[in-house]
Parts: sequence; structure tokens; C-alpha cells
Amino acid sequence: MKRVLGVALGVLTAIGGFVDMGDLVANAETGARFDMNLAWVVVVGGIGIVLYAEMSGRVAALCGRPVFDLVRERLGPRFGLANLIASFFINFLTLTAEIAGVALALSLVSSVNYLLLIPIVAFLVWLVCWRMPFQMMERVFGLLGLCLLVFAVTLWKIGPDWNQLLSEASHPHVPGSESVFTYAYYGIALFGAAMTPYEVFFFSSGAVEDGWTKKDLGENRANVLIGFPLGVVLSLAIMASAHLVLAPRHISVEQLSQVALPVASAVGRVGLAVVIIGIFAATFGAALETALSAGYVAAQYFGWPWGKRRSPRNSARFHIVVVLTLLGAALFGITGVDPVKVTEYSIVLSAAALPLTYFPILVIANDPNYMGPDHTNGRVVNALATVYLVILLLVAVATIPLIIITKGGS
Amino acid sequence: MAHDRVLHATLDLLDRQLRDRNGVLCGNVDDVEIEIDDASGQPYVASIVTGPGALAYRLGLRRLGTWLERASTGLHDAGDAPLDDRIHVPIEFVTSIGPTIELAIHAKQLASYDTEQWWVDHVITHIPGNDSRATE
Amino acid sequence: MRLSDLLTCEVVDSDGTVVGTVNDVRLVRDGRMRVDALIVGSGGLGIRLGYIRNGVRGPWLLAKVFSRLERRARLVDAADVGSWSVAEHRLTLRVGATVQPYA
Repeated sequence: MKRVLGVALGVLTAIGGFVDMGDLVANAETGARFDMNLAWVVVVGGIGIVLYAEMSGRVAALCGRPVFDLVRERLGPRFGLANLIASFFINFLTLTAEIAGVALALSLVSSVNYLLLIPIVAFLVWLVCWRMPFQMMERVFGLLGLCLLVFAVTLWKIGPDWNQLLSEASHPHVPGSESVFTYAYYGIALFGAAMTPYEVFFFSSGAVEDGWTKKDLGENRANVLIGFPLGVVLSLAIMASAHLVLAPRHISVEQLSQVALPVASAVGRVGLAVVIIGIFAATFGAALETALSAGYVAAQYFGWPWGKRRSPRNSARFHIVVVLTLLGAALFGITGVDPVKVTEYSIVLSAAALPLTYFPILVIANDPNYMGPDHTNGRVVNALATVYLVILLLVAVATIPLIIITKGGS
Repeated sequence: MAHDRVLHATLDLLDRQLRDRNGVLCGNVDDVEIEIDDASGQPYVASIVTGPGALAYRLGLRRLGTWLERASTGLHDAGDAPLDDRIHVPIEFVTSIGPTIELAIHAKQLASYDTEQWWVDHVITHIPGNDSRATE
Repeated sequence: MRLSDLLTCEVVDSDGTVVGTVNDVRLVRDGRMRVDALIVGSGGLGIRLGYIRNGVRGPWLLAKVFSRLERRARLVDAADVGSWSVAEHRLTLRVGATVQPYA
């Protein structure tokens, strides 16, 4: 049991980070609009996050330094500050979207307008950040998030022609109804959703909070290799069920409830209940991760004491940043901004900011002074990571022009 | 690393995390003060500079930085590791240079600690549950 | 004198020829932490990232790029600096100062 719970950080990071509002929306949207033609991006993004999350966890275990600490140390104060501002802003948008997501999931069962629920959700998120022990948080939301596996059940219940599904996914093309640009735009959205920087902020800070040392390198690998692939499978299941259920009925995903539609139609009421719990846990988990990440990045840039394992008295500024960010996100949320649009922008913009975060991780993971002579990256990891660094740079350069050309994917 | 004789300032010192004598995180190396030896005329590292003023200065906001540094006066009783002011840590009080830089002083002796304490006194204290150590 | 000010200085030799901008400072610990030399004219990124001195060797592509970038770096002995007046953002070297390649 201890071993099972040991991967809770990875499962929470993956459920709340990989499969969050961003992925729920992006996968359902692309499944309904592009069939399985963008499935490969999820796999590419998944491998990318496995690579870099493993490095960030390894660095954290070996020298106790979380990601944003390294960002400032290696990029210097100016680029570090630029990254801090960009990451903080994206994180803020994501947090707004996640809070709205939790509120929407709750409004499905309570039939109370979700806008009224936003302040309550924000308060609950804050309460968990303020009081709940880190490991309990990991376990509760990681395990509840497993309810999303109902998407896999949905797929199995629909009983598609698996060979056809696989061949569609492995022979991608731009559908006739879409332009190359919108295809690329949604591809970037999926990639950004898979590799959102807060996943590594949270994962590496969480590793420090959990007190990982050299002994936990195995746990790090297990976390990454179980958590994120699980996220990839869930994402693909969401995409495929949207493709099979929504696309034939010409439903495009504009609301979170439509993400759950395939489950309701294939598995019925029980399925719907389970998926709502899953969406609740995933979005709530992601709200926690993004709220804490806001505190992590600010504290680590400025060198303040941080972390849930310290009492708020001993990490005052960290907790203040968390609570102010939550307050801001809740206020932004109740203005009635479209949560799906906010989600989309947050993941697309995060694609533009990716290199600034992932580059320093790669450099440190190669530095024997931090890692010791035996734990720097091997050749294979380095070769793959270099390929991803190039991809990240290309994606970052392409993002803003694509937003303009496609007018935000419409 | 800690016992290396040769260091590079931007690589080994600048922007590293500082920890006090109890391992408490207490800022970064925001800048380094270099002085000229009177006898030989040769420069040496006198102290590490830390705090929002030094950071602002380094980011190019020189006036703001200088002003912030002047504003951070007042000294705490420091026992065996007294500081001249609250932003400079003499290099003699650096006990180890590695992924973090370890200091022989207490975090309280630095100006940046005041902001932390201000939030504790004015906000954190008034919220229930502020003392809970969120660990198991 | 702040290190951040020193890192904006331009180094010129006694004839007035520009050697480059100070990118890093080499320190030697022998009793005091002595400023031993200035590293000039490279951009300094490779040093800051650890590719030049910290034994960072991978990934191959980055190591190649940074060692190439650093090839222009020069080392100036601190004893050859005539005056340390960083306020003018300019350090003038003594007559007969040696500027050697770094790395």
C-alpha cells in the first residue's frame, strides 16, 4: 500500500496537471472537431512531460532545488523575472479556469448557478492550501481523480472499431473542413496543455515538500512513468469518446458539461456521477496546484521561505501570494468570463513560455556539481530532451502568429 | 564545489539561494560587494548583498534600488555574527558555497526578513490555524 | 563597488583599443576571496550555464553551441587593470598588460 501511495504525487500531478480543465476541454474539443487527427500531439506532449518532469524531480531529490530557483540561477534576474511574470500570468488564467471548472462540476449536481459557487470553491481551495498536509492532499485528490478512468469505460462501452480508431490516429491529416492554421493552433493547444509549466513547478516543489532525497530516485521514476502515461491514456480516451459521440451529432465543445456528454450517453447515470466526481477532483487538484505554484514561483524567485510543510507563520509571504492569487482569480471568474475560452488562452500562451522553464532544467540535469557524477542525464535522455527543446522553441515562435492568423482558433 | 579554490562570480555566487544558520531560506545573492585592498590596490570580495534594493539595482532600477537600501536600516542583536548593516553579509560569514549558500547569521538580521515579519504580524496572526505545521 | 556595476564595464587597453565587456569575474580563495581575473568579451552565457567551467558536457548540441560562443572570450589579469573606476563604465589596462584567450 505504501508503494501505491508513493506514486500519489505523480498521480495528482498527472490527474490535476495533465488532465485538468485544459486537457478536458482541449481533448474533447479536438476530438469533436478533428476526429483522431491530433491524437499524436497528446503522445508527443506526454513523452515531453515525462522527460522533463523526471529531470526536475531528479534535480529536486539530489540537490533540493525546485525548478524556479534554477530558473533565476541559470537565466539571471532579468530573464528570470520575465519568466516569472509570464508564468504567473498564465498560472493565474489557469487557476481562474480551474476554479470555474470546479464550480461548473458542482453546479451540475446542485443546479446552483456556477458563478455563485466560485467564491465558495476559491475558499475551499485556500483552506486546503492553508491547512491540509501535503501528502494527504496528494492522496485525496490523486485517488479521486482516478474516477476519470470512466472515460476509458465509456470508450469500451461504445465498442468502437479499435483498428479503425488506431489507424485514424496513426495516419493523421488535416480534415477537409479545417485550415492548416487551425489544425496547428489546436495542435499547439494540446501540446501546451500536456506540457503546462506549472506541472514541473508543482512536481519539483512537491518533491522538496515530500522531502525526497537520493533514495527516492526510484519513486521519482515510478511517479513520472505511471502518472503521466495515465494522463495520456485518459486524454486519448476523452478525445476518442468526443470523436465517437459528439462529432457525428455535430456538437462542438463550448461548455464543460459537453465533455461529460459521451459518458452520460454510454454509461448512464452512474457514469455521469462518476465523471462529475472525476472532473471535480481533477479541476480541484489543478486549482490547488496552480494556487500553490503561484506561491512557489514567486517565493523561489525571491528566495523567500516557502512550502506547505512549514506553518504559515514561517512562510508568510508564500501564503500571502497564494491567497491573493486565489482572490484575484475568483474575482476574475465571477465577472462571467467564459471559462472554456480562458482555458484555451492559458494553454496556448503557456506553449509560448515553455522554453524559458524547460531549458534551465535540462542544463542543471547535466551539471555534475548539482547531480553528482552518477546522476547526470544519460545520452538517450539528452538526445530526446534536445529534440524537445527544439520543438519547444519552434512552438513558442509559432504560437503568437497562429493566435492572430486563426483569431484564436475560430 | 565548496572547497574549490577558484570560483566564477556569475556561476557560483550570483542568484544562489541563501540559507541561514538554521537552514531557513533567507533571500538570494542579489549582488556582490567588491572592495579594493588599501595596501596592494587589488580587489577582493567583501560581502554578499541581498534584499529587494540590491535586486532592483541589479535589474537596472538604480535609483529605486539605492533608495530601498537606504530605507532598510536598524540592527538586531546578532550575537557572534554581527553585521554592519542589514543588506551586506561579510564573506567571512559564508560557511559553504554550493547549490545553496550557507550563512553563519540568523535570517532576522537581514532587512528582507522585516517584510516577512510584517505579514505575520498584520495578517497571518489574525487567521486561525496559522500555527499548524502542515506535515504528518 | 558592486559586481553588477563591474559587469557593465568596457575594458580598453592602454592604446584605447576596446577588448570587450566584462562578463564574469574569476575569484580565487586564498585567505581572502580575491578578484583574480576578468573574463571579457564573450557574452558570458556559457560560463553562467556551467558549460565552460562547471563540467557540464551535455546535451551535445548545447555544449557545442556554448563552447563556440565562448571562443571569443578573453582573460584579463586583475593586476593589469590600471584603475577600478566603475562609475565611468570603463576599465583601462596598464601598459604591457596581457590579454589571453580564455577556455
